[in-house]
Amino acid sequence: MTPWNIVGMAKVKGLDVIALTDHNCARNLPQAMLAGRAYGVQVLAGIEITAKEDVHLLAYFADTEAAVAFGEEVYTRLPDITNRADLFGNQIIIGDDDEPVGLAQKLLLNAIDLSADEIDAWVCAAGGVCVPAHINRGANGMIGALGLMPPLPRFPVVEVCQQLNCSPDAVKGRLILHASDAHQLADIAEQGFSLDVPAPTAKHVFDYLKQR
Amino acid sequence: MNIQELAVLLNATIAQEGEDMTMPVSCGYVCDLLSWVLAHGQKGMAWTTVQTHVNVVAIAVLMEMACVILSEGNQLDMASLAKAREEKLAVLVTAKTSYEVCGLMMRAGIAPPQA
Repeated sequence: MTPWNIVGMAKVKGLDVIALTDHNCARNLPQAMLAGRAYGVQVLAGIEITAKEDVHLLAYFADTEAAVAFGEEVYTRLPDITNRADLFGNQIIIGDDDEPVGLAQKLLLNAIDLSADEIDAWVCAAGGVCVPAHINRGANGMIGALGLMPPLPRFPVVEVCQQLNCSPDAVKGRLILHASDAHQLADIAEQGFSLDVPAPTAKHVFDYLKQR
Repeated sequence: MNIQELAVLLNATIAQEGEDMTMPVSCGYVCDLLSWVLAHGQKGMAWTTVQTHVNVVAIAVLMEMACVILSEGNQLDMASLAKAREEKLAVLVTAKTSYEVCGLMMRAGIAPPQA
């Protein structure tokens, strides 16, 4: 998967707005934004952060620069453990012309040294929106790792994995997002999830999430 | 063995006193996945974990556990500690690993949870 073929696939699938949220790294966002403009697909800048409880959290930002800067701080907070490509795959950074320009050296699978609550506050302070990812999916979902969702008003927006059962109590009163959580091109979903926004732009989606 | 004696056995500091530190420990357990503990926790249990989220306290209270043992020197954050104080849940902190905690508890005759 590269930023360009991800956005290209999104175009083929007829998606209006997509979010790119690499694990603990935002260095592929600039190319995804360029690809978005080239293909006419709106791209919401994001990152998927692993909290010290092993919970996965999505952070969305209104602008790419803020997301990239935030991503660098997340990367700094990762433990100094080098990726082993033979075990975990290459962590490629893509530059112009969809060509690799480097590798993220640290293992991006790791958790940073902050709790889910601390990350939520940090993302908010940086102007972003923090959304627990696939809350109903095993050890890396908030329900699995923490046993139950922190009560509202914490985490008013949650991402739920549609393929798995989810306790109604866990999502009561919260805005539910569904995502393809695509880790391969073929996993990118077709149209099927919509939000009531004035226009199908990344900015409108961000504002919609932010105002919750 | 009661909670007070367990703290001595584990060379643990008492981050928060329980309602009754002479309450007997019924069984020992180790797990860091809180949903799993919710499904398998038992009354009177001494639960070892490295997790420090406030839900650790909530689950231990809900299951009427004897105490929580934080291994490898992990400390509750302020919110979790305040909750433990409010609920009068015994929280022990030891420098030992969860592995050592379990070994010591087993050797001292603390049983695994009942199936």
